[in-house]
Amino acid sequence: MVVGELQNKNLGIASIGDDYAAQYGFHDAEDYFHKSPKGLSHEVVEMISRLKNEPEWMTKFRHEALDIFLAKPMPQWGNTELLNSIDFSDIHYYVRPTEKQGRSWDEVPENIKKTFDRLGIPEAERKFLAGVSAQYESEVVYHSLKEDLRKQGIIFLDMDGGLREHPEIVRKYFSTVIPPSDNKFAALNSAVWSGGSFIYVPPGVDVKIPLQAYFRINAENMGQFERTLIIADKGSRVHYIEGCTAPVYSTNSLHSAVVELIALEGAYIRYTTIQNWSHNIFNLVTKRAMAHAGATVEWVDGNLGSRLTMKYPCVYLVGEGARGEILSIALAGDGQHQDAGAKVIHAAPRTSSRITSKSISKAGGRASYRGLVKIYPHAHDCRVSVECDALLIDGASRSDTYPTMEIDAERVRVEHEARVSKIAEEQLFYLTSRGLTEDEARLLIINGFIEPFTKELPMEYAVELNRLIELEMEGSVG
Amino acid sequence: MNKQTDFSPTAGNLVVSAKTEFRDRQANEPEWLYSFRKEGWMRYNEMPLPGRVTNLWRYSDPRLFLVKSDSDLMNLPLGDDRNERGDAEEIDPELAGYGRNFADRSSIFILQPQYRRLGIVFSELSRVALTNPHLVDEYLGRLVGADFGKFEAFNAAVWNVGAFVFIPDNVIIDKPFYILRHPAGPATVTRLLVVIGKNSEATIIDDYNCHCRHEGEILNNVVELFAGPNAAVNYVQVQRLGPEARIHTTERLALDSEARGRSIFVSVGGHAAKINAGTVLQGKGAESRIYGIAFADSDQKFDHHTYHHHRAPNTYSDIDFKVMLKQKAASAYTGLIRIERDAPNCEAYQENRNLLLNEGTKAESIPELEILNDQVRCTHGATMGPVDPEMIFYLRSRGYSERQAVSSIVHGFVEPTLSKMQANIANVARELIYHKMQEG
Repeated sequence: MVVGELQNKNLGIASIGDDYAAQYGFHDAEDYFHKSPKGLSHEVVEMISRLKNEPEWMTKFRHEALDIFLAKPMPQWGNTELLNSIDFSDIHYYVRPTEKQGRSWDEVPENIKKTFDRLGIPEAERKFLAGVSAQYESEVVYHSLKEDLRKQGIIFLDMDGGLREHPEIVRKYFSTVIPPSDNKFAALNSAVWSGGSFIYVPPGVDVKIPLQAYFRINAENMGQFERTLIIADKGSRVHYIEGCTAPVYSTNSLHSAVVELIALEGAYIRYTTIQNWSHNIFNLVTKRAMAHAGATVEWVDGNLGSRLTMKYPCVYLVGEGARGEILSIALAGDGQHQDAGAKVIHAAPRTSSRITSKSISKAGGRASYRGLVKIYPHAHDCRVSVECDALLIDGASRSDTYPTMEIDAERVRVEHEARVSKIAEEQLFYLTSRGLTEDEARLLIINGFIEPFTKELPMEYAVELNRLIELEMEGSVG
Repeated sequence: MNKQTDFSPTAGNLVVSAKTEFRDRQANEPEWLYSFRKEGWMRYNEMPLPGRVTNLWRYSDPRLFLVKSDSDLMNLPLGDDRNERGDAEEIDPELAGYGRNFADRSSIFILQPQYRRLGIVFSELSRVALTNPHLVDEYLGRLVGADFGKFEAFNAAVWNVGAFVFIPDNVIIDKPFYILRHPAGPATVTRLLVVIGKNSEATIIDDYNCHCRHEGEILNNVVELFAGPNAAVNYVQVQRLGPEARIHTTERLALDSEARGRSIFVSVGGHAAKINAGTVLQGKGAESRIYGIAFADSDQKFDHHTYHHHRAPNTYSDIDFKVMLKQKAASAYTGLIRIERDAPNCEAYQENRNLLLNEGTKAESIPELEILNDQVRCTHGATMGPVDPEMIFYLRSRGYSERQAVSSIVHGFVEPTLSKMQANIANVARELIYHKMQEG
C-alpha cells in the first residue's frame, strides 16, 4: 500500500516504536475492565488486545492505528457539522459481552418496541436487537447447517475467533484492503475493533445458502467497531447477509465498522446489508472489496436508520475482466442525513461496473448520493454505468447528488444519470381512480421505486423491508 | 499525492504580500469605487487559498492563478479610453457596437450611429465609473464581489480595464455587441458589467484573444450580467487565448422575473483555464440555458464549473456542456444545480458529454444536484467515451478515410449543441473546433 506508506510518512508516524506494551501495558487487565472507562488511549488499546489474548502483531497494529487516528484530521467534507460534534472522549471503546446485559427491556424506547411488533420479530430476537440480551441464541437452529459448512472446508467465525483459530489466513489478508491510514474512522476501527465476521471459502466451493451474521455463535455481531473479512478463494461463490430490517437499538452513539472483501480469481461475493440503526447513531463505515481477474463483487446496501450515515461501498477492480456492482437504497426521515454512495476503481483492463442508487427523503430528511468512478490509465475497454434516482416525499426534505468521475484511460464508456422527482400526480390519479386510497397509491409507487433493490434481496428480507417502508411512510404522506 | 502539498498562502515562491497596505485614493477616483477596491484588497489578503478538498478546486492548483507582484498592479492608473469619441471609425454593419480592451489598458468603444439616441451606454468600464458613477455603483460587485472568493476579491481590488454595456428599458437590439479583450503580460485584471433593462433584449459577444506565449501570463476576469424583468440576454464567451495563458474567469448572470438568459461558452485556448459560469434565477418564471463547448489538446488543462441557482418558483434551467480532448489534454467539468426550498415548480436539466479522441487524455465529470424542494423535475446525465471503433469501422467501410470518419463523429457530437446557438455564433464555434481538429 504505497499510499498508506506515503501518508504515514507525511504524518510523521513512520517510526512508531514497538514498545507499546512496556509503555502502556497493564497487568491487572480484568480489574481495569470492570470500570469500563470512557475515552481512547494507548492504555485502552493495550487492554482490549490483552483481554482478547491477541498475537503481538495485532497489538502493534492496533497501537499504530491509534496513532494514525490521532494524527488524522476530521474529514473536511460531508456533514462536517455533525462529524465535528462527535466527542471521542465520551465513548466506551470496548464493552465485554457480559456487561451488555445490564439494560432492561423497560429501557427500550416505545417506538422501537412498536416496530418490533409490527414487523413480527420473534421475542428472543427482539431482546437481542434491543441490546437486552447479549446474543441471539441460534446455535441449535443452525447446528446442522454449520456442520455442512465445516465439511466443505468453509470457515465462518466471528473475527476474534478467526484470529485465534486461523492466524495465518488473517495475517495474510487483514487490513490489506483497508489500511488504517485510509481514513480517520478506518484508523479508529483498526485500533479498537471487536467482533464482526471472518469467512474463508476454499477454491471452487459454492456456498449454496446465504451466510448470515445470525449463524455465528458467541458473536458480538452488533458491535460498535465491527471488523469483517471475507475471502473467496479462486472460483468460489458466497453470499453474505449482514444486519436486518428491524431497528437496532443501541445507546452507543458511534458505530464505525470496517468490512474487507477479497474475491480471488474468478470468485463471486455478494454482500447484502440492511442497516436500520436507531436515530441517535452515527454510522461511519468503510467497506471495500478487491476483485481479482474474472471475479465479481456485488454490494447490496440498504440504509434506513441512524442520524448520520456516511458509507460508500467500494470495489477495486484489480484484475482483468473483474466486475463490480453496487445497489443501494437510502431512506432519510426526520433529522436524518444519509450520506451514502458507491465507489468503483477500475485498475485493470476490460473491467465493468454498475451502480444503482435509490434514495427517498421525507419529513425534512436529507439523502445524499456521493460517488466516485475512477479509471486508471491502461485500464482500457472498461464500462461503467451509474444511475441515481431520488424521490422527494415533501417540500421540507432535501436530496443531493455528488458523483465524481475521473477517467484516465481510453476506450472506456462511462454513463451517469440522475433524476430527482416527487411522486407524479398522474400516477396517483390513475391509482386512486382504480379504487386505491391515496396512501395506498403512494406506497405502491414507492415500492415500485425501490423494486430494483428489493428484488435482489432474499424473500424474507424483501417482505420485511416492504413492511418497514410502509411503517416509515405512515402519516408522512398525504 | 498532490493533496498532501502545502497550499498555505506562503507556500512556494509566490508570496502573497499580506502586509501590503492598499494605496491612497487616486485623484479622480470616486470614493465608492475606492472603498470597493479597498474592501477587495482586505478580503484578498484575509482569505486563504481555496481548499483542494472541495470539488471546485480539486482539479486545479489555485497557485497557478496567483499574480506574483500584485502591489505593482495596484498602482496602475485606471484604463483610459483612447478613442473617446469613437464615432470616427466605421465598424462592421452587422454589429450594434464594437469594443476593444487593448493589452496596454487603452480601449476603443464604438456604438453604431443608429443606436446612439436610445440611451445605451457602451464604453470602457473604468471610464463609465467616472462619467456615470451611479450606473456602475448600483451593480458593480453585486453578483461577484469581494466576498465571492480570493481571486474575485483580488479582481475587485486591482481591476483596471473593462467593458460596460447598459441597455435601458424597452429596447430590443437585434445585432450583437462585440467586445474583444486582449490581455498580455504577466497579469491582466479585467471586468465586464452588463445591465439590461425591463423588456429589453441584447446579445454580447465577449471574445478573449491574445498571443500569450510567455509562461505564466495570467488573466483574472470577472463578468457580471443583470437582466431585468422580462428581459432577454445572450451572452457569448469565446476563449481563444494563447498557449501559455492562465485564465481565471468568474461569470454570473442574474435573471429577474420572466427574464431569459442564454449563456454560451466556447473554450479552446490557454494553458490552464479555470472558468466558473453561473446563472442565478432570482425572479419567478425566469429561464436560463447554458451551452458550452470546450476542446483541449496538447497539455492544456481545462476546469469548467457551471452553476444554476434556482431561487424563485417556476424557473427553468438547462445545461448542455460538451468537452473534447486530444493528445495529452485534461478536463474537469463540475456542475451544480441547487433548488431552494422556497422555489417550487422548477425544472432543471444538465448534460455533460466528454469525447476522448486518443489515449492519454484525462476527463473528470462531477454533475451535482442539491434539491431542497419536492415540486421539481430535475435530471442530469454525464457520459465519457472514446470515438467508437465500430462507428469508425462502419464509416471506413463506406469509403471514408480515417480522418473523415473521426471528423464526422466529432460533427455528430458537437452539432446538437451548436444547433442551440444562433447561427453566426455557432459558425464561430464550429470554425474554432474544426480548425483545432485539423491541427497536429
